Amino acid sequence: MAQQRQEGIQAEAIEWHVRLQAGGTEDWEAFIRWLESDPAHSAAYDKVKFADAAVHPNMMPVMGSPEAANDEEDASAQASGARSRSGLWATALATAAAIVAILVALPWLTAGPSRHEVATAAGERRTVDLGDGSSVVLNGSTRLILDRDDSRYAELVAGEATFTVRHDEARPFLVEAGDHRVLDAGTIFNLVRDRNRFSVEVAEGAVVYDPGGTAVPLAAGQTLLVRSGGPPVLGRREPEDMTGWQRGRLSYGSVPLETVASDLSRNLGTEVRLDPAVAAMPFTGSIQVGGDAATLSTLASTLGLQARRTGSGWLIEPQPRATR
Amino acid sequence: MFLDNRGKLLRFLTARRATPDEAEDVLQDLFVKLETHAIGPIAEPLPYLCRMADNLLVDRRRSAAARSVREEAWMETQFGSEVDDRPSAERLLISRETLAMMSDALAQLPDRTLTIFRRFRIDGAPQREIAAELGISVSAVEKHLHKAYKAIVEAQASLDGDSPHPLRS
Repeated sequence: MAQQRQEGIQAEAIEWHVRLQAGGTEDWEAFIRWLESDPAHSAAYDKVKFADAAVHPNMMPVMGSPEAANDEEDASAQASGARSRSGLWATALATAAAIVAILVALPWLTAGPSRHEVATAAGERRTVDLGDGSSVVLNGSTRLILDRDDSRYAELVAGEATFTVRHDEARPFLVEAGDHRVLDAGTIFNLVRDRNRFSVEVAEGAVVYDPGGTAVPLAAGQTLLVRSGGPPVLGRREPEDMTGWQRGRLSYGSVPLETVASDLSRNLGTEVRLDPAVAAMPFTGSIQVGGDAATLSTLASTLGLQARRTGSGWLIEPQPRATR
Repeated sequence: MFLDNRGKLLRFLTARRATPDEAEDVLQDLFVKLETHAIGPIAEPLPYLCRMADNLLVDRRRSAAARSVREEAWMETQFGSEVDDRPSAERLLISRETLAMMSDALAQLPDRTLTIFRRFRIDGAPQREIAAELGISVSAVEKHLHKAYKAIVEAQASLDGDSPHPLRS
């Protein structure tokens, strides 16, 4: 009976989730009352939200080709849980195999004369057509290596770039950035490579991070961040925020201020340094990039700090106590 | 807009079983977001604010859950039976497992249910629009969505060892 009750609550939680997608004030008020009526309700709703957040576009077979071929290992897969593999995973593995082939081929591509560098100065923006309908937008202080003979490959040497990639099952698009590899599956994604940070943000479609190894799939709205030597951390971000820098808007949710400073250096074209005392301060919010002085003093005063022009750039530091 | 609704938001977060600290943090994040986003007038602020607060809360809980899995993996490497030099990979594999279970569950749904779920969840299409496209009623669309969500929630629960709460903390 307890089981039945639990199932009933779970079903209600799903109904709420579906209804609230387009819910008005009354729906939300009714939802609050439902939550308050039983402490188990919130937990059941969490389960729905967690499952919903984990949904990945590639989980669903492409419509019109219903070849859901999970034949033999179905039963054992369900039993072990660990080895289950649907059509998607079969595809992912096949792609991983293809990547191994590409990686093996890389050493002599690297040396080839067909590779050339595209770079931007600090504060500069540049869009490069990659041929075959794909393109990449480079933020300031960014270096990218492209290959004339292989339009499906790029190396991010440093900086930030948004890739808009046309999907081609037979020839997946690979981006390398030091030890990091990202394999696209037809998508728009943003990469940042700094001295101590590598980040992948997927605005549309899906990519696979580290295709030959852990092969982590990332869907639209998902992010992956690796800080020097640390483990990869998954997160979420509004897709429109990811490419906001192209419109002069940088948005963040609880990132250390040093991340913001390095982004600003790239976008403003001037070096933004931080007093060590404030480097780890968390920042949430968005910044409209304008002139150096206006942008930095607004940011600093929002945080109760001050921005000061120094020799080669700007320094953000705590305010002297007397002025507060 | 925020201040007018602060009380209601707090009530919402409490109903969502946020601790007082958690609720304060979420409200703070929400406030900063609103301050810096320069959002125009909104006809119905409460749904907008609740949705944002709920997303922030779910994000926090998901990363807390991920962290505890990671810490557990680390503990295992330090003191446990299995020697694994890649606790981070372990965590990512777990999330990959969840995804695989969920995509298995989805693969077993009828085509039509999947189409509707895809339109709703991936494309963000309103239910009314989906109903119109397929020439069925909104309540039929809801039934399909319900079936799809039930499948993924159950797939997820089977990995969590069917604990009554998805979080460890």
